[in-house]
Amino acid sequence: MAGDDLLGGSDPEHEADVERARIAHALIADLRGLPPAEVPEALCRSCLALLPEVSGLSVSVLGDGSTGVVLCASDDVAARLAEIQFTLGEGPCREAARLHAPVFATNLPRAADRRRWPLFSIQAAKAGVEAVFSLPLASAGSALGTLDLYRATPGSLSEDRLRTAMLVADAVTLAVIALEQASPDPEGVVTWLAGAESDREEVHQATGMIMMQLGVSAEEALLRLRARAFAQGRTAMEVARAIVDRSMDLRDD
Amino acid sequence: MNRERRLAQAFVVLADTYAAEFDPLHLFRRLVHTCQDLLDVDEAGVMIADARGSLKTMATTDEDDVFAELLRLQNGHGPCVDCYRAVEPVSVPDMATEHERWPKLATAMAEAGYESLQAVPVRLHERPLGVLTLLRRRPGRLAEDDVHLAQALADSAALALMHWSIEPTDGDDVVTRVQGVIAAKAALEIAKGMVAQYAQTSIGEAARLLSAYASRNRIRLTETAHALVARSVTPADVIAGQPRG
Repeated sequence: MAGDDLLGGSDPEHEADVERARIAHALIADLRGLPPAEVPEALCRSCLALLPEVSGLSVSVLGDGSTGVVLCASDDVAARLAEIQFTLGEGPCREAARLHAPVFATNLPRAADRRRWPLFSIQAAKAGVEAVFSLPLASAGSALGTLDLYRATPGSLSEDRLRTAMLVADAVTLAVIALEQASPDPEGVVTWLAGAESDREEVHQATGMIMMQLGVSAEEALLRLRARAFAQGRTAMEVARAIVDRSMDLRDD
Repeated sequence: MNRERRLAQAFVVLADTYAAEFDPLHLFRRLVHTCQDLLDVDEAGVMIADARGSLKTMATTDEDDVFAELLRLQNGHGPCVDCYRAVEPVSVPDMATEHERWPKLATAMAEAGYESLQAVPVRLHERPLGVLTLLRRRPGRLAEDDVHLAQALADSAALALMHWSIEPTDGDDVVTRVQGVIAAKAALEIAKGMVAQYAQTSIGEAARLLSAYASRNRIRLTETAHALVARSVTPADVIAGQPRG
């Protein structure tokens, strides 16, 4: 139960901040100095080390419409799971991307999961997988893709494990955005990870305002906000507040 | 209509998840407005716990976000967080006497003109999902009956959130539902920013324009927000046809 460990007087928000920093540091240490082409595989290895309770994982990025690309996978089973969901058009990762929310199949041999994903559950069983956890790579109101975890045994993730997995998905989102920028700067990914900040109302509101000011997409608007924050040595939250109260305007560049 | 009939109707509306226009964001707006209408309180707000560990504001009766700022100020320490963690109602009959415990919150509440607070947990059976906060402009404990009603309304909203889909649900789906609403709320905040910038108005006014557009066109607020972010609806569409002020 969620309440039990919280009753000990701990502060879940502070714990999440500590965990977020731990994840960012681990990823930065593993990715620093790598040429961009080697980042996806290293990202996968690094995530797997952060999530020891899972058997394997993959990161998929959505293209236009319903197509998707497997960016990296920790093993062949993870790669196959992601590919069959794109082929079948069915499975937790498709739903996670559609709902912008995590979707779990915690017991694929069981009737409930089989009814929900009749084709995927059979293919997963053939691959020796009994539980999958799909987390959206959520950015600026849309899902860029998914982080997909699998286990050979059935069962849910504990509350703590789920939190870690969500925070890893947040970090992967930032890394994927940096990779998509196709920045020649190998430090690009590291820079974005260091600037990671949890989603806040003001950041979303400022993102919408920048979209209109510059005529750009939500992802691009969020990047511009983060870039301004980075350039000025301020947090994304501080820059967002300045944009919302109209003391800063990115058109002034 | 007398209070009892309005109350009965409120429960029916909150529990009606099969209506075509059912919208999880609207559900929380209904919850806070029902509390404001039926209980002896001035403002109401609801927060839901993100699986990452923080409480996120889903709706407040005050669109200008003074309330949301009060909720945010608690930042891990305060009566709403205590209520969520203990899964028990928390009553603060006189915030002016709580300066030592919660200095920032007590000061901000006094500045905003609120004197007392009541928090009740939003729970699914015994599992905590979030917290419903009720504010009053005068000191004193909220009547026991009103606390019970607030709890019943919060419980109905939590159940409705779980039943909104025809898909089967189990414990793991709670996370999907809760995070789905949090994602919809993020899209709504981006849409507010787009409208505020386009119409050169405040975030609060943008929120009102968006709600008016959604209800006038019978489109769910969640869909309206996603359509704006995806650029299939423009802020100009939202402004067009608004009654001239």
